[in-house]
Amino acid sequence: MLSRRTFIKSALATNVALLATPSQALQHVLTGSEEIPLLVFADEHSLNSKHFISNVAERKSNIDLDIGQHFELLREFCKESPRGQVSGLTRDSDFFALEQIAKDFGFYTQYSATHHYSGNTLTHEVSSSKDSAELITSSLKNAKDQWPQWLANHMRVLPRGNSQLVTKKTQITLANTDQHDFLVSWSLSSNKHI
Amino acid sequence: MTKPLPQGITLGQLNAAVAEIEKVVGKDYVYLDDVKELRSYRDPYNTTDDADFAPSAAVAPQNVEQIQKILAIVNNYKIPVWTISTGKNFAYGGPAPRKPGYIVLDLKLMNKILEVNEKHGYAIVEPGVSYYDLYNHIQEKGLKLWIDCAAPAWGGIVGNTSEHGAGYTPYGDHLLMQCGMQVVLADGTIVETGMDTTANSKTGGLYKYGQGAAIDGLFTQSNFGVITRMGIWLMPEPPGYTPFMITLENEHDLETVTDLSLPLRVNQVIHNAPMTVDLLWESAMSVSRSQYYTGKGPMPDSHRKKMAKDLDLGIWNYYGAVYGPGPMMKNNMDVIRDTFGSIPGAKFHYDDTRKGDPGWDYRVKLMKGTPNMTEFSLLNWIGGGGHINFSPISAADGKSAMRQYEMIRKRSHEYGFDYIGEFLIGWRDQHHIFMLMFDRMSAEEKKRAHDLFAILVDDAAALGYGEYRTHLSFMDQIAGTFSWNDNALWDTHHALKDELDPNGILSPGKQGIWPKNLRGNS
Ligand SMILES: Cc1cc2nc3c(=O)[nH]c(=O)nc-3n(C[C@H](O)[C@H](O)[C@H](O)COP(=O)(O)OP(=O)(O)OC[C@H]3O[C@@H](n4cnc5c(N)ncnc54)[C@H](O)[C@@H]3O)c2cc1C
Repeated sequence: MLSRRTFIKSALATNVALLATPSQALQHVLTGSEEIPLLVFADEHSLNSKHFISNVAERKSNIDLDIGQHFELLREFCKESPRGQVSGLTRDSDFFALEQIAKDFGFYTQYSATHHYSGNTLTHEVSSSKDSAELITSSLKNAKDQWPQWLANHMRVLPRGNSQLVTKKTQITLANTDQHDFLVSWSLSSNKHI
Repeated sequence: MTKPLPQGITLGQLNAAVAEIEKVVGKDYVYLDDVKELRSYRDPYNTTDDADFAPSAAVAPQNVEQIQKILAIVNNYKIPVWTISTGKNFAYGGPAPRKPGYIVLDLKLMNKILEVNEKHGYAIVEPGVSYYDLYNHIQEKGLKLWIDCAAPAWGGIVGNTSEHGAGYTPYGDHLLMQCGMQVVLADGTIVETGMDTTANSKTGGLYKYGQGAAIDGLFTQSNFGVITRMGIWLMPEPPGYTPFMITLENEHDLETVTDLSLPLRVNQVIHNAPMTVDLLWESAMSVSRSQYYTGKGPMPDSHRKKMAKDLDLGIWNYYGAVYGPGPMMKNNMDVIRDTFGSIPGAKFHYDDTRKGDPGWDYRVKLMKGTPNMTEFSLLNWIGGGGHINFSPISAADGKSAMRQYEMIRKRSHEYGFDYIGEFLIGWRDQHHIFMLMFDRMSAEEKKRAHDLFAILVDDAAALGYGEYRTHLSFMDQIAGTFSWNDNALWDTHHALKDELDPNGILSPGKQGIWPKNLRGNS
């Protein structure tokens, strides 16, 4: 019998994830971000998500299909770290649920992107602030199949703040992929503590 | 973004009302930012334009007195408020209001568990108490009581019961288990129902009906008041619990299994509401559609059969449970095995063989009232999954169930969607839940889903079926199908509405009940 095992990994990372070659525009966002507490969720059922979380420092992990088991961790984090950032690469439904819980603590979506494999095409659709959407979209495209690692490395420079979100889309053709993933990367933080 | 406004209200009036409300609850508890804060008061599963249900503001009062003051302000400006408790009514509209511009009255901060009585098995809670909250409280206190929760346990007792929601233990009919409530009327009057209306009441959580007309139901699926407290009966922890599942090989087994179930259910051989769940619903817990089929339209039978084989599932999967002392459970299980064993190909599954399977594991939790959120995994069946539930009531009768199933499946296939559904035998009825799942990123698919839903309402009505609950978009259409005797029922609702809420400030349009000033437009 096929049985799906989904791993939701959560990591409280206090160190900065390394930026391999940060662009100038992203670099200035990074300034001062090192101290921001970060909570990261990932769905380890998917290979891409596994790849992502393995590149995030100091992680804790949980394994389940039940996103409800992570509500307390998220609530505690939001209470203790009102200046913090919660990010992830998860199933769509997990993002949906965590976003709902976080809003009660004033944490809102500042960035989200869907990553969808269909046939040999990978589509990234990024919703982010005007000044970052284009940059993130092209970086994801350039990263090719290493996009989860790119995300992990740039977790801390994902936009914060209260700007209007715009949407950008890009498609890449990848050879030899039979993946079916539909994942969402996202970042939540509080407007009030920027 | 332009601020959504209620019909006939100017931005100046809205701002003036909001400024007064801020003085009552404090600025921190009034949410105005359309981009971030109010995004979470929308319904991402809506099949029409986001703006159709966009609120202008949300306010979170902390007590009854603040609610009374807010109602006085909005009465003055004639600005509608939309009451929510835990605000997780997804598949039926989430926290979003019926029309743009309403102010959401979010009772999430009124979240006290006022009493849990172990001896008599009841709890009295405020609206913001979620199923998780009540469960955790009972665990912390070590009380021998079970809760009964909806499949996603982040909702709460008051909101779910207000919607006539259902769960999976023997206490699954939530309105049946509700006992006593406190309600604030539009003019600020506080009303207690049932026994709590006697001075120094000692029996509020024990007897539902009180003296005179039992009016509790009037405040559910309606807009006649704001419920601020509710009593709910809790099941004493039984000495034993045996969940079981039966996989069935054929489409038409739905008819047989339903007919065999009714006598067992009404005679309490099966203690909870048994569920007959279709293959795709069960499979979506473990796999996604694209792992088996990447074509357009409904998944072909050949692919479904392969999936059933791989996952050791039936075309239908029947869940139920018995509770009590060992010998009693054994007796009941013998009858159940004899009864359903007569269906060719029926295969029984229990914890020893099925544990670890995601579908089984979360049902086992639900049938003993252990809160979880696993059912949300269904939404990943297709990427970016959104869904609205079409929920007609069927008789607990095989032919009736088959007729509804075939009608919905035919239509959903015609519109290019999979049938994903389940039947839940209440007492004499079945709640038939067709989870109409669509790609919420695709405008074309949303429109197609919307059209399908609308036609299903009419199809069902033509066959003599109505729905038990519905999404914001279809409240008026469905109200129109409950039209016997020249709309006598809705005329009665409207007479009550006009009397209790003459300015039409409480949730206008909820379930198709409109105040006089908006009735012509709906
Ligand atoms: C995957 C999935 C599975 C689901 N499974 C189930 C299930 O098993 N059983 C089930 O019942 N539902 C189910 N639902 C539907 C829904 O999620 C639940 O019913 C949920 O409990 C409703 O949200 P809530 O409890 O937060 O209520 P709320 O959203 O707070 O309230 C629901 C409605 O009740 C009215 N209301 C709320 N509070 C008050 C008040 N204080 N005074 C007056 N009126 C009020 C309002 O009209 C409001 O819109 C499911 C949904 C999804 C997405």
